[in-house]
Amino acid sequence: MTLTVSTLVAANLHLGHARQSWNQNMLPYIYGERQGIHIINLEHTIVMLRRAINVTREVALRGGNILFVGTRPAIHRVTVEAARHADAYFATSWVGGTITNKERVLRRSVGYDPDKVMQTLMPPEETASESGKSSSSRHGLKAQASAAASGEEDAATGRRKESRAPKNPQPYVHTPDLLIILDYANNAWAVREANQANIPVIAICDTDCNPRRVQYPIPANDDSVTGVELIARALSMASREGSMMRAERLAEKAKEDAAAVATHYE
Amino acid sequence: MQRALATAAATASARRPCLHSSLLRLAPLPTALLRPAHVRTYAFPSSSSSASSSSSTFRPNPAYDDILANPHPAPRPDSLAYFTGNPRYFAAVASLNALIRKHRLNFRDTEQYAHVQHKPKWMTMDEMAEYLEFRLVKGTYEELVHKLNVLFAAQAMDGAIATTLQTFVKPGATLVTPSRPTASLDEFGRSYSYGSRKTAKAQAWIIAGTGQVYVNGVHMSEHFAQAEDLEAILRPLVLAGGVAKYNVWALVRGGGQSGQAAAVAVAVARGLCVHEPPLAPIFKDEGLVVIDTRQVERKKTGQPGARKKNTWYVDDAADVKNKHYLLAALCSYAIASYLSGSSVKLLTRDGFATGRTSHHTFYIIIATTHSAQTEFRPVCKAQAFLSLQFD
Repeated sequence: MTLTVSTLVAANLHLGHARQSWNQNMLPYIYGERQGIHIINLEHTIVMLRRAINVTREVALRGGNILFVGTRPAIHRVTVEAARHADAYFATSWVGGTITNKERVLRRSVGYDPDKVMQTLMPPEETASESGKSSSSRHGLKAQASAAASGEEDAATGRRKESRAPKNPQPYVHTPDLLIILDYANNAWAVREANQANIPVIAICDTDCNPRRVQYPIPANDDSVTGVELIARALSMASREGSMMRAERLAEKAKEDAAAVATHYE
Repeated sequence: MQRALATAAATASARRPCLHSSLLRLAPLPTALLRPAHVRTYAFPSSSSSASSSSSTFRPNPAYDDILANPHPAPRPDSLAYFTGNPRYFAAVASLNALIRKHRLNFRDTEQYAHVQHKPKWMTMDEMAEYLEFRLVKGTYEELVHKLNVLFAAQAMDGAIATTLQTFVKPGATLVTPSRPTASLDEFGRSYSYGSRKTAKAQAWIIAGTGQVYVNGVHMSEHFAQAEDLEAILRPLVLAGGVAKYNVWALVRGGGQSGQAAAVAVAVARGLCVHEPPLAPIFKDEGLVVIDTRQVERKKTGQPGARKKNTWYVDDAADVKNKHYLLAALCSYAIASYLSGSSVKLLTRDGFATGRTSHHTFYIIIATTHSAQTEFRPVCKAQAFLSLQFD
């Protein structure tokens, strides 16, 4: 894929929104005005897109979770395909609390509901067993308590539960390490959550968006599906590259380690 | 913009990156030259900088130096839809969409599966939430069911469709609904059918014959006295053109004459549909095969019938009018008798149409000259009470 200004123009990425609805923070990225709409300076777009590509590749190289967010129905398919090719993740509708309330919002993904944690009524020094229940199992309060106390095998997970040792069964809930937002205008909340959690955000910023809330803005037209697809593909390819490089390096390292072990035991 | 690019490319130096380069060979960006003025960037020190740098220089955490270490304490999530909070739903929808796209099905309208007779019983919203662990709202559920129906209608295209759809079938039901047992002729060529009307229940056996219709052991003309009842029973046969082609043996219990006749008529129509299936839509349009479910409505307490009400409550306007007429009649009678010479004297309270209270009671005081007694008779509501005292 060649990233040239002509390619971007062909994808209508230079077309901004109406002059009246501009965000003044986009001034550096605006080339001018024509027929009542602002035209985005694609030289900036290319530079910032390449920066975003670099960031994506590096995050993928380091094993981070990359999340493509695209809420508009027209770009649902673009988002999902980008995530699939990138070995990354997608969100076609942002649920508030995905980052800041992840234990609850992502309980179905994790298989653990923190609000249904059962605690036995015994004093804490005797047994502090908290039996985590996966959402597919159907255990009553008494059954869980008795099962926890007697140290039975948990039917859902097959793990043998210790009755005496205190546990913290809340499993780890992942956060994205990079957010790629393909329609910033609809996902200001996602950007807010990411900023709260210090997660970098790449976003396609149109002339009515505020690029200052985003760490790697890409000034471009967010209404054109072909344009968004182009950018999403570029970022998706970068992410794929990064994860492939990581896989290679991990394989090399594994080989080296194996060789080192072999030589050690010779 | 294009000319600027051309000149830039012509004078490319080691510092300025070529905008046509591929992704893999990107030179470090001279951000100082190209970044907008308001964007702050941090200066990452090169590896040659001394370890004892001043506190104003930013140094990334050395914990991140190991690129191959896992940044999270758990392995990466498997599902693409991990961060949606609804991973199984999205995985399912992705598989359905893939099938729809693969076979290029037009899923825009519901006409796709309007022809399908027996759609399988899909899971309800709550069942999907419980068994498949979907988080659904009504609109999403309806769209999902629409896609399932579209794929079910196009089942013949691909065997994989059936396996995919199986997961959405209601627990206890199957994808291929067993067809309802259709009625057929028995070993003797008879059809059995049933009909009812009000309290009459009828069974009919129809066999090819000469046109004899027997009800409860006797010919129908003996059983039914009214011509209307006979016509009702014969109507389906007439429409089918089979009056002389079939024999009917009917048993009917309950109800009265016309109820039994209508019950037998429905049974005959249904039996004829078994003999000649093409008649079914014709009879359905005529309404001959549908049982009339109307039953006698029960009587309610405080009323003389099911709907009829008692007449305690007379309409005010009519009541007043009645009272006017009544009072006028009484007064004119009293006046006439007085004028004709009888000894009746009319004494009313204030005049012609007065003496009427707001509760529609009024008093006619008629007294005789010879009697000091006055009779007060309250006239209330619909009742009229006249007392005349004569000498």
